[in-house]
Amino acid sequence: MEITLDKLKVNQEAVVKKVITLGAIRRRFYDMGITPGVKILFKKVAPLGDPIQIKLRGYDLSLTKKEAKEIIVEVAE
Amino acid sequence: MIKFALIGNQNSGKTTLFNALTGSNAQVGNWPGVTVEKKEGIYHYKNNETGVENLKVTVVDLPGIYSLSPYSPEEIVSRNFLIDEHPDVCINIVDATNLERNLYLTTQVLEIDVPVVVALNMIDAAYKKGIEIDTEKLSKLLGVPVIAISALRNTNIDELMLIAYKASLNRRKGKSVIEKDPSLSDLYKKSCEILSKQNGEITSLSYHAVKLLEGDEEEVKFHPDVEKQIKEIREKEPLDIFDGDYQGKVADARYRFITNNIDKIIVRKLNDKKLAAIEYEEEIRKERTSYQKNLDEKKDKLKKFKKRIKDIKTNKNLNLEVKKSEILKVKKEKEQYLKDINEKLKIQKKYIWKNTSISEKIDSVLTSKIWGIPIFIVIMFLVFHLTFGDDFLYLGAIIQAATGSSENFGTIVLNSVAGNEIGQAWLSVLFGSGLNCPGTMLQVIVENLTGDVSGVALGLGYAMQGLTAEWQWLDSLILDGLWNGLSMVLSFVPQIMVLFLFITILEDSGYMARAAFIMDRAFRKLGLSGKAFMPLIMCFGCAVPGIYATKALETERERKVTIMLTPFFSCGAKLEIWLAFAAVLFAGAYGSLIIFGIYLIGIVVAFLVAILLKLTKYKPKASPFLMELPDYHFPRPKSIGVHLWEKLKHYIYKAATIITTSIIVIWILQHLTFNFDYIPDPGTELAATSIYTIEDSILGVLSNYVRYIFYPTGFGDYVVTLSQTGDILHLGGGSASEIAEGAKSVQLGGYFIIACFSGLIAKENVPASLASVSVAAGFSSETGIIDALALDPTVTFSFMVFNLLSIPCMAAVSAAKSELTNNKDFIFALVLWFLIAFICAAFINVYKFGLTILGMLILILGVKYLIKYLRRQKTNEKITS
Repeated sequence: MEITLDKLKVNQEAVVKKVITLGAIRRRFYDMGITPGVKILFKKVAPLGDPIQIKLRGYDLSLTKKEAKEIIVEVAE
Repeated sequence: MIKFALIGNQNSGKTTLFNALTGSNAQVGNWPGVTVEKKEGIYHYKNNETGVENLKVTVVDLPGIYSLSPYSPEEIVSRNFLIDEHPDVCINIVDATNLERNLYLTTQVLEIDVPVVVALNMIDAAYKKGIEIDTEKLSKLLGVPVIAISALRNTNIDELMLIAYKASLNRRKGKSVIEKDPSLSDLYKKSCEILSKQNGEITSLSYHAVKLLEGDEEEVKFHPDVEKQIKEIREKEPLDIFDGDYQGKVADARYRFITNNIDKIIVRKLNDKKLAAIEYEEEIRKERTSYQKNLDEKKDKLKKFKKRIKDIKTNKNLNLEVKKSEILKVKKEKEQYLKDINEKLKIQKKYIWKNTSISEKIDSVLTSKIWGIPIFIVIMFLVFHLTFGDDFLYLGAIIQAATGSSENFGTIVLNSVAGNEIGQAWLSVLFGSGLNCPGTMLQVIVENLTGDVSGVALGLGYAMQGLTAEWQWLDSLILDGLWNGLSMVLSFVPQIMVLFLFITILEDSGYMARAAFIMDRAFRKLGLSGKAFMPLIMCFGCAVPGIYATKALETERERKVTIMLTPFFSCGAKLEIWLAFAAVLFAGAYGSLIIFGIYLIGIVVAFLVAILLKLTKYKPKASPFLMELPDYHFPRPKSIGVHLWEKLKHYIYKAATIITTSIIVIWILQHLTFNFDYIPDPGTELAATSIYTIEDSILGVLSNYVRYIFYPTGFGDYVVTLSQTGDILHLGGGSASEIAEGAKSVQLGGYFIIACFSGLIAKENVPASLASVSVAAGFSSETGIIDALALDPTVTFSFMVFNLLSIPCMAAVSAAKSELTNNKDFIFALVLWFLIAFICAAFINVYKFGLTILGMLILILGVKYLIKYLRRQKTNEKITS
């Protein structure tokens, strides 16, 4: 099932399919290791509901929901 | 001199290595903490081990970055340095505990024609995690020397430098990992070919070739024709998931190179307990998911039970007996279910908790949905309380309330030694309104050492008494000017240091990243990100460290806007102004309410200005909040010590240069007429015979002109009538009969302007200067001018608000100048602060408001249309180009 990253549930794992956005932000995603095929674990949501925390390539990264909407992931189940 | 560059990810321990290498030789060219501009230092080789006698090398610390793409100022600085300044060696620091992401930057650095040495930092921490790295294999894979080090423990540092020196003797051609990538190698080779055909031999060919392949904006500017050819080739390639996005393809190829090889490099120790935890990660994750599912199910089930009971109760076909027994049945079933599920949940919870790393355990509390914000508030409160508080944990107030005493124990202790000035001064190190907090204790100690009761001040004062009349100016300059000014500045250093200590601990432990994580959403509304929170909160203490702390912010625009908001957060020095006026306004009533109101006005104005700036070219760029959340670890005393020492050095350096100079300049302007005649201070021997008063000084004359500009604020034109003996009679000019009796009207506008200007040196000067000129102005007491202003609360308020919002003190202004880097932004900030202060002050002053509202409206509309016009021009430019 393909959804955007922000729709994942806590503790859910998914594989990145595609980054939609263009330009500098897309480049940033790639630089931080969010490339197609990488496995991502959705760890938590900040107390105020945004941003979110994910784990990938052995480290923790936070990003806003708006940014997460630009990332399409595939959920295994 | 030989030059080595240090490059690496944020949190890779780069600055720690820099400090270990250069020690005390590091130039203080930059506020330490986060490297935004590059920093230079010198490393000495020991015992001529290189074969060259007394060899020294320059070490350049580049900003911490994740990539060499040209999107942030840090990246551009690093990239340009490596390519244009040709360092002899590039030392790439790699965090051994996080190889995968760190090596990404390495694959980019390797493409540049520079000898590279990879330093695997934090090797001890990696070892503890159960990760061992085969440096030989890694070296072979990358084609450059690799050495494992620990910057924090000084392990292998000299060996690293020796390897770097050896590497500097040979040249190295850049090489790209793309070359061997199945999907990109052909294109890469073609790109190299075309590039060298067009330009002949060029340096860093492989770097430029990859950049062209990616269609990098900066690169395309230099080789538009080459880019065209490559574009044609690119367009013939079949489309894949990247939709022809070659930046993504290249990034993907780099990461693929790393992941394909990483298992060969990392030797995991299988018997290690912590490694076992890593192996079980998947299992634990499943356990967590199942735990969450069970929790949801429990909620659901309980709802169903409730509904069943309700259904039975409302069923009209059953009689009471049957109903009772049915409900009992359901209740029993529910009890059994609860027992089972709770048992299951308990076991699961225990299992998960046991297998969670300490860092995640801490995180699960500190950023939890319920506790995250309360804990955050408590931490912030404690930092401020411990730094600025004079009633440790409110013990004084609590004990006072509990015992019903009329005074708190701090005051009681201090009163017990009343009359003994020196004893009281030193006792007040420990006691304030109760027990002092650590920051306040240190502050009082330094205040005592430099203040009136100190031996130095007393000795100086005694020495000055021996001066003959013509040398008394020396007394005024040294004692009243320099000594008072500098000791006041120094007395704030301890509190700044304590505040910094806490901030550094929060930063080093990893909590600061979480504070940004928690606050991000609230700050988005202002166009800022969560990272802006910390610098702004620091400004309640002092704007100087707050301004320097903005370096941690992502984008330049966000940094600029945050700096522009800093003065609105009322600092510790400004508190003296509020205290002076609160004591006389409304005969001293509502004092704390007035002060609280001032702080609130500052915050509200900051919010409004943030929103206002969103409309201008300073609109903070919606910066991606892609922030690494590093593991928590115990703060390291050594690295905190280094940070604090550098900050202290920097602060004292500033006090000795800028602040000293400015005090002397102001003193001269206050004590010389335009004819360069000396104006003695009132009360001295010379003053009795001098024809000049402070009004004749250069500053006095100028401020008298400037005061007309301040007409709308109310305090630019403020006249009171004094009796013959210097007592205040009433507001406004005196009547003819009063004048006949010897009363005089005094124009105070000029004095208020002097006060505002002297506040530019340090905000404490505002009440101090008003007090010092009172007698010279004809008042009978030194609080004369302040009392006179308090006659009109509206104007007093306007004066306070002006000083709250206007241009901050010299130290903060110079900090802002060095951080804003661009002169245009700096001047804009100064104008902004002045205008905001002026408009708000005029707004409060309702009497003159009627006259000025029209002017203000024209000004606001003018600015608005100017912005609109400029924006339209900009878009026009874009369209035409």
